[in-house]
Amino acid sequence: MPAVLGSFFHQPLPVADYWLWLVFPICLALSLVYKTTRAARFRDIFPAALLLFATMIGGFILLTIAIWLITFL
Amino acid sequence: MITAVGQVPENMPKQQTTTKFTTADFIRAALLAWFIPGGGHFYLGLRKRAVLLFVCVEVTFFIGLYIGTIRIVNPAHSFLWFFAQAFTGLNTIVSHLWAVRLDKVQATVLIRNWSYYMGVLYTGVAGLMNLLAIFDTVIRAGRANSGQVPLPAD
Repeated sequence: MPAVLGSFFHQPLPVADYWLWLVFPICLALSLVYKTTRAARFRDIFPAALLLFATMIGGFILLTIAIWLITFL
Repeated sequence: MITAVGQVPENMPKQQTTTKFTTADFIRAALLAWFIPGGGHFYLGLRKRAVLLFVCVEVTFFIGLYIGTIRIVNPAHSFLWFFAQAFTGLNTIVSHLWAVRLDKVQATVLIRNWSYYMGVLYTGVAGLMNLLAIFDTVIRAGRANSGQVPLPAD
């Protein structure tokens, strides 16, 4: 059993073609942890985290558009 | 209105706890928060938050290990990122011991490609998220002690 579990972490996952999608889980985890530490009530965490997640992704998209415009126009 | 010993009726709002913590409690909570993600919040009685923190930090850390292999948890490869990873406590201790052992067995150069960088990023960010949780544990305990902000019910 430990050998099977161990082999799970021995070979790297080829992420070169879709590394950009990995921004979603890390942003979600980050927003959840941040709001867990900030929210006054537990039930406020999930809506606030969702809003923060959307803000982060939206910010990345806007930043991408801005950099693209600066570079190619 | 208390219906039975230790039971509060459902229609009553949950009371915020006002607990006094000693210096030993502070140290214990901070160490627990470092050793097991969410442990500090669990110690303070914030169990739902503790579970949420545990899941978020652990999932992020293990996604990182799955992408970049366990060998990325090694100061010999990236010291500053290892410093960040170290805030996940037990995860890093076990992973690092395993990585050192694996480095001896595999004896190949760790290739710095997308897998490596994404793995290091995920595990490092997991550690930094737990650092935030450690600070929150200590700050919440401190505020509750001084009577500024009592601990929430959940």
